[in-house]
Order: sequence, then structure tokens, then C-alpha cells
Amino acid sequence: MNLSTLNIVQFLESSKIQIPNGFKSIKGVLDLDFYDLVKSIGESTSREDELYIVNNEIKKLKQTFSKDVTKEKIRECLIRMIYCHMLGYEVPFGYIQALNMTQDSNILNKRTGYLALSLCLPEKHELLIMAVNSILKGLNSANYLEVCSALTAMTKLVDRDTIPAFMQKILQLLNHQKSIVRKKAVNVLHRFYKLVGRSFLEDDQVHDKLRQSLCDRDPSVMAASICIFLDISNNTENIPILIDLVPSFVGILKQVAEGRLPNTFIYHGIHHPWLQINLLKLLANLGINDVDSSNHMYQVLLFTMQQAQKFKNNVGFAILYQTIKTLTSIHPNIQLIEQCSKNLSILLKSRHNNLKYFGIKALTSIVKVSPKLVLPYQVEVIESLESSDETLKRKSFDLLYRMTNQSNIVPVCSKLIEQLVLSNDQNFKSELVNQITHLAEKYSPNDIWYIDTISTILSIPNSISINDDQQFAYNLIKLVSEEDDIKIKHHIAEIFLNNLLNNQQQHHQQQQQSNNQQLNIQQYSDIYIKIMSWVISEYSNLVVSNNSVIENTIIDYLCDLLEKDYQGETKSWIIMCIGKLAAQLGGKSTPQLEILTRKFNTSKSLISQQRSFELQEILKDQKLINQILPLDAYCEDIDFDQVFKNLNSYANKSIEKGGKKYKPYEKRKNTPLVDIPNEISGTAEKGLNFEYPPPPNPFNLYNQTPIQNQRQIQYHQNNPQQQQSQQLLLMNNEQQQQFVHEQNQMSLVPISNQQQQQIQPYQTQNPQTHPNNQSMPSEQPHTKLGLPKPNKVLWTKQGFVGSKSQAPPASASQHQQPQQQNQQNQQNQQHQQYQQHQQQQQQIKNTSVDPEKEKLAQQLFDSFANKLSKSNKKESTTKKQNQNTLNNSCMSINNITNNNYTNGNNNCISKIINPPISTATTTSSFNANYNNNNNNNVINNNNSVSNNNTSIYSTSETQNITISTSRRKSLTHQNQLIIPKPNPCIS
Amino acid sequence: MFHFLLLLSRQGKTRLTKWYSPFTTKEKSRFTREISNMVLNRPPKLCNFLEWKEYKIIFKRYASLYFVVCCDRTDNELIVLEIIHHFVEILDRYFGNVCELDLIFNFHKAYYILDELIMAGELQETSKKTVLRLIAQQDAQQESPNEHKVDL
Repeated sequence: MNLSTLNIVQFLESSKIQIPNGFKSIKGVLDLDFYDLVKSIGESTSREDELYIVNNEIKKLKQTFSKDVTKEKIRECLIRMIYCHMLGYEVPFGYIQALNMTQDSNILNKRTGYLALSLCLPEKHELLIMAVNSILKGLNSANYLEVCSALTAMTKLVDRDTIPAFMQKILQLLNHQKSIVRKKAVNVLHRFYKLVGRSFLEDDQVHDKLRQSLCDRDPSVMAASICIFLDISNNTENIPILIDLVPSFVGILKQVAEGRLPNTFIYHGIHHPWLQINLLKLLANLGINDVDSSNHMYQVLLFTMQQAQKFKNNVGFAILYQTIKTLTSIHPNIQLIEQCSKNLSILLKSRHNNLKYFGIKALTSIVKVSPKLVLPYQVEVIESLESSDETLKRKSFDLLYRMTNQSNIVPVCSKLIEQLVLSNDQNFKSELVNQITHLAEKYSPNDIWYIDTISTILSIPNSISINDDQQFAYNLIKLVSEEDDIKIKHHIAEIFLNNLLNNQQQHHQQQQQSNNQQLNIQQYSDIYIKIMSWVISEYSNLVVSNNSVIENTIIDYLCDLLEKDYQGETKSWIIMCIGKLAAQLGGKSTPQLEILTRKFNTSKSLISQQRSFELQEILKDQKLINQILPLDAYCEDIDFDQVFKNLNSYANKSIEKGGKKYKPYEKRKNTPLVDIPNEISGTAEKGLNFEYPPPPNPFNLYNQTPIQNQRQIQYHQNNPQQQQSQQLLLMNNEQQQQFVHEQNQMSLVPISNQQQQQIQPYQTQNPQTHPNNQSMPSEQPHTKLGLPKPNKVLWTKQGFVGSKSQAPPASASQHQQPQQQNQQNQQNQQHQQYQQHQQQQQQIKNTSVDPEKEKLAQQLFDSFANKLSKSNKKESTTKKQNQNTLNNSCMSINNITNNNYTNGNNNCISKIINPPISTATTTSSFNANYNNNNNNNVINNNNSVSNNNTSIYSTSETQNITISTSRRKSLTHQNQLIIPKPNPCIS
Repeated sequence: MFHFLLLLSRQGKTRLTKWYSPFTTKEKSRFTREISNMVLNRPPKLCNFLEWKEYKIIFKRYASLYFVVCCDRTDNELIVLEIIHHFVEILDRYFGNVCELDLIFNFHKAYYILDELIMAGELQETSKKTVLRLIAQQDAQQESPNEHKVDL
């Protein structure tokens, strides 16, 4: 044995474990093989070494199992097997041996067998059924240790199917004389509940037994049953079952807090803290929105907290926190919460981050109920916001998010955005984006700020991943397009143009400096490019009107963007943007555009290919281009009825010639569709790269015309007038050529005289509407398809439509008056000013605080103090001060991304401060329009975008012809689309 | 509720793993790697909690060993820390001034103790004496001459 002693010494040195008296642990329990295994694993330096050793060991184990060896030997092998499993290797060969071991008479062999099974056996393994017998045998044993080991193993070895086999036996064991057996039986019941769920409770017998164990004379059994009740109460549907037990739970908590339990339950001075915590959680679940139950609890909760406070250790603080959590979850008793919040200073002012973390958590739950209670701790909150500890910081940001209201939205959001730029964690980033956009939609002080904020978020690289909810970006489009105030449009166009120009200039500079540094240039997210393309295409003329040099530069930059690594869908937005800019420049086809279209005519992304073809065709006719791509007509409606009516003649003609009838979508469902996964991403296509479809023939457009989304099809069917128009044609190639030929001869496009007249008013109106930027409310009675509407728009230009209830009552009365924004701003500023006074007073008391933090605290926490003293706030403020503070807030956002459009901001802000009266007067008409659209069949903005690609394929098979209905929508949203004919002339 | 418990050495070697929620073997090894990276590289003096996926990681270092617990977000972190401490205290009583080597070579014993302490992911036994008595009784029942054991 000298040899092994030496080995151990070597092992200790090699693995650098410095442990005095290390040998005492190896007292005659382990065998040599296990020792060798552990030693060689400890010495292995790489993953490969370890793999080699474990594989060898597994081979050895298999050999040993196949031989006929003693039980002791097998037990040792099982322990080695568990060791291998622990390191992350599969050991299926030993399951059956482990199962056999559970039948052994020796308790240690038995336990080892159970241990091996419960650790190594995966979920839903077939051996689980075979284990039933052996476990049942164990449960029937006279030796309570055997029963215990069987019960312990059961918590892991039972699945849904085998529960009935055990049920009766477990219920029997709940009456076992040994309390430890009863306790474990309760645990097993808990496991059953987790597997079966709510239906488990429908058995009256189980229900009775559970209540019986709640009254067990041994507190440990009772504590175990509390765990089940807690789990049950986590599902709100179950609360009625438990509500009558509230007095019992309160009674138990009182007794535990009083210290009535035996001394063995004392942990660090406190009686059974785990039980107390569980009871507190349970009461929190049961007391939600229940005044009666809550009234039962207040006294005991206060008592529990007072008892826990006597101990300044982790356990005491844990109970303190849990009490506060419970108090804020149940029907609130503000006085009590106030009293509790005084105790938080010990947590927040602690030097240990764990306790600070708990302080912040407690504040987070308090702020929901009574925001002003956070005030005394503002300095601590600010400190933890700037803490180097990521966990603490996140919790503080969460707190910040929850205490946001109208008055502190601006500083809070700038703080959140700052964090968004700094953070590296993708999960945290998307959480931040969600929070910021949510706040911005709910509490935004004005349009300009909203636009600034959202565009800043969009422009931060990597802030938005593809999987995130991008609805907020489309909401931005919606807001801007529906906004009547031209300054808003001007502002957003400026932001995006500046971003584009700056970014490209940087790009060129860096390229000149060094070709290798290209990777450093920030790549914008896809959604940013989409929004940017849309904004530039719609509103860039407001900023750089009639300056063809700059517009050409913009087109150049956009073409550069097309070279980059974006999704095909994103690129199609850019192509549309270029098309519109070209239209604004007079619609002449330039060599640059020709190169562009030639390139994208063969794009792998169908949607960009299609846009490219469209652009190519449109550019051939300068008159047409201004009709198809009109200036600022995003919000105008299209009369589908007319369009469809005019197509009927086509449909009929072609049916006469033997074309197929239109088949509704539902009937087509079973026919196989061409299905190419990932068709959107032009970049992600690797591996199989077949070309689809061959593009050079422009007539192929007919084959690919995407269909409207399903909703629109339903609309067709619901409308009897358009029955005929559904007979849109399905033609084979011959017919198609004939058809085209015919059309050329007729030299008239599917638009009849009647419709021409309809279009003309639009044309004449456009120039007029443009200066005022009034979105045209639809006047055609038949218009069923309105604007694309996002699902949730909490915040529209009216202010905060979705959140009036949260506005302070004083401002609510003024909410509907004209110029409400302005007044609101003033109010906010008044609040802040008043706060400055208060703050200064506080400062005098509160010396030695970093002035910067103080300032931040002032910004963030002002609003709560405001609520305390609304009556005093009527101080007059000058507009100039308003302007300054607002400027600062906008600036703070801008500074983060170093954009230099502050001049534009200043202008716009001064405009906002003195808003034109027109804003107020148009509000009502806007509202009517908005509601109207909501009631109609509205195509969801998002839907239409995401449906694009699928719809292309769904129609390609039936070769449907759809019509270029939504002129503007098709161009901006890339929804259903197209030019009916390669070269139509409408004049 | 606990989802799993890990014991990691300072070098990142796994000393003990106990999974209370179902995970596949691949997930298990990936989680272990991820968590040991997060925990071992965390500077001291920061708080012992980490947000990870939809769970929370709570860890504490004792000498060269890290005790890591993964639990629900709703769990009270401080009390989980105390569960870890409770476990360590019991190990300490059982082995008598416990060290890493004790756990390496008696890791199945550590499992038995853990099983008494935590069942189905919930703490069940708060009394050190009860746990130790149970384990001692089992030890007493299985004591039998073992010729092939290392005799030091």
C-alpha cells in the first residue's frame, strides 16, 4: 500500500489541491480502481485525455459487468459508472445492473442501485416500468431505511404512466409511524402533482390526505406539505381550493415566527426560515386581490418581519425581503409598506452587493404600489445603476423601467439607451429595446422625442436581432405617415439622411486609409435599413428638394448599401427607395439604374428580383413613373372595387379562350407548392444553389405575381360584386404570348376611361396636398381595404392614447384641449423646477454626495416627489427654460450616437414649443379616420410584409394574375403588387 | 425549486452534479460548461447571483469548491444561499472538517446526504442531526469486512 500512498501525494501536488490532512478522507471506503480513475482524470490536462481515459474505463466496466462477479464488485463498478456519467458521458450499459442491485438485501448495495438509476436514467426510459416492481418491493419492506431509499429514488424514477401503480401504497405510507417516511411520502406526492398537474387534486382522497399532513404532529412533515400547497397556489386557477386554508397558514406562520417549533429547527437563530419563506410566498399567492384574506395577514406579516429583524444575517434579510414582497403582492396596506420600507436602508446601504441587490429588488416591488417610497433611496439607486456588478445593474435598470412616468421618461430613456450601447449581452439588449420602446409608446412627451428615440435605437448596431419584435419600427412609419405636421416629416428625414451621409463618408474615409479596416465600420440592422429606405424615399425631398446633386449622391450611397450583406427583403426596400428617388428626379433612366436593375434581375431573392423588374419597366415611361410612384401619397387609399371591375373584362376574355377559372385559395391548399426554404435571404444561401426562376423574360412576371395575403382573398369572396373578377386568368405560355400580343395591339391597358377619371383627381391633388402634408382621408364609399395598421399602437400623434388612466388627474382634464403637448411640457418643467427647490433642500441635509449623481437622481425621481406636493407646483416658468431643458434631453440622446443633427433638433424643438394651431384642429378628423380604418378590413402592416414571400410561391403554381392595386402600398410595403403590363400607357 | 446543483472545482472540474429537472445529456454538458465559465470568471465581491436564461444561478465558493445552484427566478436568493451553506455544514459534520478530497473520493456519500436534504428540488430537512443520524444508520448496516479496500 506504500505505492498508493505515494500516488496520492503525487496526485495532490499535480492537481494543486492544497488540503491539509488529505488522507483522512480515504478511510477504507474506496477501491483501487476508483482511485485510479479519479487520479488519472485529475491529472488529465485536456478534453481529449479525459475522453480517452473515460472510454477506457467504460470498456473495463462493460467487461466486468459481463462477468460473474460479487455484488461488492458490481457496486464499485456502479460508483465508477456514476462518476463517468457525472463527467458527461452516456452509460446505458449499466442500467440493468443498477436495477438488479436495487433488489439486493444489503442496504448499501440497494442504495447504490437506486442512486445510479436516479442519476443516470434519462426521462421516459423504458426501464422506468421495470423499476416499478423493485420499488414497490422496497416500499413494502419492514426496514424503514429501505422504504426511505425507495421513496427517495421515486422522486426521480416515476413518470406519469406509472403513478397509478404507486398511488395506494404512497397514501398508506402517509400514515407510517416514522415521521421521516411520512415526510418523504409527502415529497413523492409533490412529485406526482408536478407530473400530473391540476387533475391530481380532483381525487378527494389525495386532497384529504394533503390536508391531513398539513396538521401532522411532526413539523417537518407539515413543512413538506407546505411545498405542495405553494406549488398548487402558483396556478391561479387553484386558488379557490386553498382559500379556506388561509387562517391555517397564517396560524402556522405565527407559531413558527413566535418560535414554537422544537429547537432542532432553529437555523442561525431563526426558526425554520425556509418554512417561513414558503409560507410568505404562499400567502402572497393567496392574497392577490383578496381583501378579506389580506386583512387576516397584515398583523402576522408585521410580526414575522419584526422577529426576523432581530437577526442581522442573511436569513433575517431573506425573510425581510419576502415579507415586503408579500405585502406588495396582496391587497396593499400602504401604512404597513411604508413602515417596512424604512427597514430597507440597512440593505441598500450595505457594503455587500448581495444585500444591495435585495434592497433594489424590494424597491422594485414597492414601486408598483407606492412610487414615492423610493424617494429616500435615490442616491443608493443611482449608485447601483453605475455599479460594476452586472447583475445588480440589471436589477436597477429594471427598477428604473418600472418607476418611469410622463415626467421622467426623458432622462430614464437616455439612461437606458446609454446602457444599450454599452451592453454586450444579446438577451439583455433585446430586453432593453423592449423596455425603451414600450416606455416611448406609453409616455412619450412629444413626437420629435419619440422619433429621436426610436431612430436612435434602430441605429445602434446589433441592438435588434431578427427574432425580436420589430413592431415598434413599423409603428414609427405609421406615426410619421399619419402625422399632418410637416416638421415631423422634415425632422425624421433629416435624421436618417444625416445618418446615411455620415456613415458613408466615414466608410469612404476609412476605405482610403486602409482597406483592411472595413470590418470596423458599423453595420446597421436590417430593420434600420428598411425604415431608412422608406423615410428617405418618402421625405428626403423635404430636406434636399430639387437638389439633384445631393439626391444623386444619396442614390450612390444607397447603391453602396446594396452591395452589403443584407437580406433580400431589405434590399428590395432599398431598390424601391432608389426607384422613388429616381421618380422625383424626373424619372429618367440613368446608366447607374440600368446596371442596378440588370444586376438584381438575377438576384436570388425573389422579392428584390421582382422589385428590380418593376423598376426596370417603370423607368421606361416617364409619365407612368409619377403615377406609380407619386410623391408623399403613402396614406391615400386605393379603390379596389374599380380595379377589380375593370379586370373582369380581361378575365372573361381569357375564359372564352379556354383559360382556367380562378380557384379560391382554400381549394388550392392541397396542391403541392413549390417550397424553397430561406428564400428571403440572398446571403444565407449556401450549398444547393439552383437558379429559380430564370429571369430574363420580363413576361415571367406573370408567373410570379404574388397574391394578396389571405385576408384579402377572403375579402374577394365576401364581396359578391367581384365574383367575376376572381376569374383571373391562368394561362399557359401560348395563351400568354397571345394575350400579350393582343394587348399590344389594343394599346390600351386594363384601366378603363372610368378609372382614368378616378386617377386624375389624385394627380391633381397631389401637388396640393403635399405642402400641407395632409393625409387624404378616403372618400370612396367602397373602400374596404384601408391602411395597414399595426396591431397595437399605444401611442399615436394624439399623445398617449393607450395610457390615459396613468396620467396624473391634473393633466388628464387638459388632455383633450388643443395644444395639450405644449401644456404638458410646461407642467413637467414646472414639476422639475419645483423639485429643484426640494432637491436643494435635501442636498443641504445630505452632504458629501457626488453632484452628478445628485443631478441624475433629480431627473429620475422628480416625478414622485411631484405627486406628493401637487398643490404647490403652480410656479410660472418661462418658455425659454422649457426650451433649454427639452433641448438637453434631446441632446443627451443624440450625444450617445454622436450624430450631428442637433441643429435640426433645435429648430424642431422651437417649433414644437409653439406648435401650429393646425395640429390641434386636425386632431378630430384624424381620429375619425383612424377609427374608421380600424373597423374596416385592415391589412396588418406586419402581416403583409411577412406574407410576401409565401404568397409568391402559393401563386406561382396557379399562375395567377393579380393587379397593381395599391400603388403606394406596393412601393412602400412591398405588398401585393405589380404592373399589369410591361409597358402600359395610361394617358 | 432547484433545477440542478453543481459542484465545481476552481479548475473547472465537475465534482458533483444533481439534476432535478429533465435535461438531455447534451444540454447538461453545455450548461455545465457555460455556468463554469460564468461562475469561475466572476470577480470576487460582486453579488453571488446571476441571471441566466429563464433561471437564476446562485453560487458560493468554499475554499477551492464552488457550489452552484440553478433555481427559478421567483426563488429567494438569500435563502438559497443558506441552503448551500446548510449542505456544507452537514458535509462538514459528516466528514469532520470537510475538504475537496473528501468529496472527490466519497462523492456517492455526498449524494446520499444531498438526497436527504433536498428532494424533488425542494429543501426538506433542516435538522443536521436527523440527516447525520440517517446516514450513520445506513453506514452501520452496511459495514462488513472489505478486503479489497485501500487501507491506509
